[in-house]
Amino acid sequence: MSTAAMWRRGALGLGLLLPILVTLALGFGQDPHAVPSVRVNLPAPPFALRGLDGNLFFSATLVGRPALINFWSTWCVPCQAEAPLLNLAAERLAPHVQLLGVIYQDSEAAVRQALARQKSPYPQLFDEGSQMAVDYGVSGVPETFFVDPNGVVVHKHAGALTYQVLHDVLAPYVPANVWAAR
Amino acid sequence: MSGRRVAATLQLVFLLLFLGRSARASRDREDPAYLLGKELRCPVCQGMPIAESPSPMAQDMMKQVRGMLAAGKSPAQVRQYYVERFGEWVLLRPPPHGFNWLVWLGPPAAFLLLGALSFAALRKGRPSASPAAVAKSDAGVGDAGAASPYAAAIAAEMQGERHG
Repeated sequence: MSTAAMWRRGALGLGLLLPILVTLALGFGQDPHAVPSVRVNLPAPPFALRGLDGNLFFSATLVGRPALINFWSTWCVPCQAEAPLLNLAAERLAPHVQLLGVIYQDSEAAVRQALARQKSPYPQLFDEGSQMAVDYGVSGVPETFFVDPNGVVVHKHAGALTYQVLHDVLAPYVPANVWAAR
Repeated sequence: MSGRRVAATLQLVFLLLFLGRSARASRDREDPAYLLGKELRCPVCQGMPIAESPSPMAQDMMKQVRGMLAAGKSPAQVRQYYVERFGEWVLLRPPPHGFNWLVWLGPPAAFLLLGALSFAALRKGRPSASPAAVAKSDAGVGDAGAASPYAAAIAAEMQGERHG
């Protein structure tokens, strides 16, 4: 085979292979968690969920105050990793931001056992039938939704929360001296 | 138990399993919720429809689908309900518009392109059957050495056997 023919065949093979490789790389590199939420910049879906104390928690009580809604499970390792930060945030940011935990695909017994070991300083709600998870378009845990005082979802974070994310999203609602006391 | 009886029992078991599976598949094909669930992606799985996923989230979504259909919502309305929450990503059969056209047209286009290339390669690679070539090949094994070193080697081997 002549050199020109070999080059032609090589270029043809590459031309056919490249789109397949690019498609596979994009597909396999995509984390379902990373799919942008269609809920951002839209009103947060209303909910009424039972809390650990047995009382119903109504989303209407959040109006006028920013909220952080964290979906989590006891079987989720990143959820355990972010728990200390959330507990600290609940203590420090309590007057300015309402934190809520929504238990995702977990048994009540497992949750009660986990929270008996490490008490939660903010309300924990049971999402029976996954209705709230569906309404918020949750595709795994942990996922955290930030809702502004007008009840609009302003940000969704997939994966374990970091201080930086908390600060970046909640800074407009929390006085600077609260962050300084880190 | 004789071998024949074991074979007959096994055949019966496989037949019953096959019939059971066929009956279930046929029932599933008629179930509108199952058919709709096959089009909706399980959000916590990798490319699996909610109708076939064992995850609790998918099963909860299937219950919702059944509930909505029973309440009189159309399949299009149910699809829209999930698109409003998860985006078009939730549809395993994306609607044909914009970038989605690539999903619809890409595979047949690739198939046609590969078919055309294969056809062209086959045409190019086919040996020419000109009268001169046929005459040359008919001239005998002794002359084949000029055309191919393999034919020459075979001819030499045969010559050796004749004289040996």
